[in-house]
Amino acid sequence: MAERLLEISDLGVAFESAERSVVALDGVSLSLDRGEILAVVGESGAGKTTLGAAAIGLLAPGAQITRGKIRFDGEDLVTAYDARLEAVRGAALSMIAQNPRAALNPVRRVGEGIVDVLRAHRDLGRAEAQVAARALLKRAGFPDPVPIERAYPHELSGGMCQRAMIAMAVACEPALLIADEPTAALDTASERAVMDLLADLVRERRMGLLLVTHDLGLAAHYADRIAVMRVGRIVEEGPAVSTLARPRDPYTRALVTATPRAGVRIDDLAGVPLPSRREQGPAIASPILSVSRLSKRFGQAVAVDEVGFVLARGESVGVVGESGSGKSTLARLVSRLIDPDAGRIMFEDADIGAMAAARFHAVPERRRIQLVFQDATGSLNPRATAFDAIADPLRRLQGLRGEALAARVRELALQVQLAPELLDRRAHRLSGGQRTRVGIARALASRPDLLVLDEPTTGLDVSVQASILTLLERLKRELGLSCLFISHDLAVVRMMCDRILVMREGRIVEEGDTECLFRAPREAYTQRLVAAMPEFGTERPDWG
Amino acid sequence: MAGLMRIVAIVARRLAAAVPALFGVLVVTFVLMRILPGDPASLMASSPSAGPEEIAEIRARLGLDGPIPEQFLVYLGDLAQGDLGQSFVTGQPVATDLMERLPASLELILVALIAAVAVALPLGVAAALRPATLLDHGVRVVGTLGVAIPTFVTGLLLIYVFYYRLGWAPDPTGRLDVFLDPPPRITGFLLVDSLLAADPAAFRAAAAQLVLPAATLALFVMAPLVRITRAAMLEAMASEHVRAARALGIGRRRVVLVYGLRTALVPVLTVAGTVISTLLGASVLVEKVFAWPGIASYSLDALAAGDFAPVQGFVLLMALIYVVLNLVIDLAYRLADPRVTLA
Repeated sequence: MAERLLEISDLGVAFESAERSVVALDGVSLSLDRGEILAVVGESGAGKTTLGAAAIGLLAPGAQITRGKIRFDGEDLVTAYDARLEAVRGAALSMIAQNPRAALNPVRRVGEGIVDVLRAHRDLGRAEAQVAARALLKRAGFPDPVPIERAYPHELSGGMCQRAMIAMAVACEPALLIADEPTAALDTASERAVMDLLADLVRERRMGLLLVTHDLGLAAHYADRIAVMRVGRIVEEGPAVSTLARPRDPYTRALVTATPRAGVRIDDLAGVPLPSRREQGPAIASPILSVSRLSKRFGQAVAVDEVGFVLARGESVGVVGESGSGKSTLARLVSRLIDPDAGRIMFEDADIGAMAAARFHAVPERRRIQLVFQDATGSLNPRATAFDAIADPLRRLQGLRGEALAARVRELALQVQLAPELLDRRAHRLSGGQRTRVGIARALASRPDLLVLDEPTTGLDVSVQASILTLLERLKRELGLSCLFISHDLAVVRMMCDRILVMREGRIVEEGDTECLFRAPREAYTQRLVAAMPEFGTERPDWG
Repeated sequence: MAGLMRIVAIVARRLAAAVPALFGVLVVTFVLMRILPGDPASLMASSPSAGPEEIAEIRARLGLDGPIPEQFLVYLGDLAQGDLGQSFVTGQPVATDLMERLPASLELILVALIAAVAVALPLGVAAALRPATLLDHGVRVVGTLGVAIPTFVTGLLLIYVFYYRLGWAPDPTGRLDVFLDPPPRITGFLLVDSLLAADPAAFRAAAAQLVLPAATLALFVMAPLVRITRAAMLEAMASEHVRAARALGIGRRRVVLVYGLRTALVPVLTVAGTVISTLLGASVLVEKVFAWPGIASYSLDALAAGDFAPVQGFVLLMALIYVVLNLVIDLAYRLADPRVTLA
């Protein structure tokens, strides 16, 4: 058994179609030893997923290897036959995917999936395989594996699905595991559990792990080495911690700078000076929003449970918590898209909680409270152009027409730094960042006083996220907006907000000024969340 | 046990929910039959020149002299006692007539359905696994032809080729060769009864009679089944879980059948449900062409004769079959996809 597990040299991959050929990988070389974790990081379009797919011989349809070699344990995989690849996959070389729920067969029980993998590669009877599957689930962090084994994927949480997927992937003790964004769909706590499990397995079995991720914090904490990719090439490679602490390549440096983390302020992210904050009057005297004993249940499930807080004029309050903690429901309650079951929502002097959500569009307060949605793509009408999306609230809420309307839309586009020529495009021809800008412009169109931001940068690349966050901060300061900022990303909230509310299971478990809360979290739950934040670069990673 | 109770509760609720629909069907058929032109009393009269007194007398005997609402109430009262009325043509109770003929129709439809699915599923899967090849296009052409040509034309064409020209098929009339003794009636399904009676000759004969009409029906409904199987299979094979299964080295056969086809079944089931409805409708013509003694040709004859009761009974029976069919399809969804919840 040679130490060198994977050796990729001068690999080129192109997507060929009738019209054109797009280069995805352009001469990538890297290697991975047993017991080593190599993180491949980069933004979307860098080719990191293609690299992972090429390594296991499962390139997307249309993708072709144009040059180079992939040697796994001394064997060339580029020229290997399908039957050989089928025998290697799952047994010696395995993969876990980004979206665990989609990657598990929806009509097959979790236990059956593991049995399938075991029996594909080993001469095991059904009963023996079941015993082995149970042991694997136990190893994957399910102390009581029987109910998990019998469950269908849709009955499990994303984190549980991913751990079940890992149990499948390592069932036949592969020497190399490729993990493509294994935690992208998971919340912080599940992310920790999944990554710790992977790291432990690597150590226990001296497995190699190729970790494809966009998350520098994750890479810094778990990887031994890191390779930074940009448009199909590796721009920098080296030991994870020191590479991120002292990046040599300008692109790596830009990535590191754009990543929100402890000790970085929003002004650092911008690169250019932001306008200074407006001096606020006696803010506490008249809060713009005060919520008391707000509750919402969906069927049996309590989504928001007696939540109360105050938002001062010009203040930014962050709401953090894991998925299912009720953050988004709170956002939708406050922006009056759904009706509360109990409690009050006071906007200045108006009891907006008492106004029915179905009729709220006709109320003057509608103009003043706007929401930026989590899913920038899903929240834009696919048939409407960017212009129409931004113009819609202006037509409906302010009755603007003709040239006045067009002028205002152009002004808003300018405000959110969206190139005017993009206004004629429909959502599918805009990038993620551009869609987010359209969503922000639409929310700003009616000149609101309170902006509710529900995970506005989820799914964006860090450099795009940095520019959106900078934009939001600039708008906040220029327009004197009050913000309710929902996010699962503590590092982002830390930069953007004055105060933080920590939610768990529908309740606010802790509340405080941002810096106090991050420095000295009182609740054990908050401490866990804070501890799971990525820290790298100038500081030594000392968590875990 | 709790699961079984739940299923029973769901079935009971669904059947109860179907009652208003069935009642609506009753009303519509009843009224429609009476406003359609044609008077059964004059048709039944001894001669075309029968006097108005005789016709009025027949009418009174048939209970057709009162106003329509009153006739309807009488009909409902009879129905409540399980009486579907009498057929003028056969002189038998409609319930007896229908029960006698229903197995013939069901046997034909079920065999056609099984044949259509048995051919369509593999073809659809094969086409999906090799999209845009000769096989894929060929499957599409055959399927389209099947649905584009009316069933009676297909039926006559099959008779011409396989009975008249080639002589492979038996005389295309009825369910069994007239010179053969039918097996003792147990279920009414000749294939089943002949097996139960251990009579291989009768089984072979009954099967031979079935081939052409069943093939005619199957050809007619194959196209939608193939098309949906192909589409669902294409999507399933491109899904992430199939990719994951391949990444874990699960064998090709298993990937296609368990990870691909198994997850593609729900849309196929949906279409299978509508296909059975199509079969029920299409069987009317096919039964005519092949002189098949089923309920569809029976009710068609009754309709032509202005014989109200058999048509009403037939429509009610069809509506019941649809209700049960929908229920079965919904329960099958649950088996095919554990994510489906039944309400």
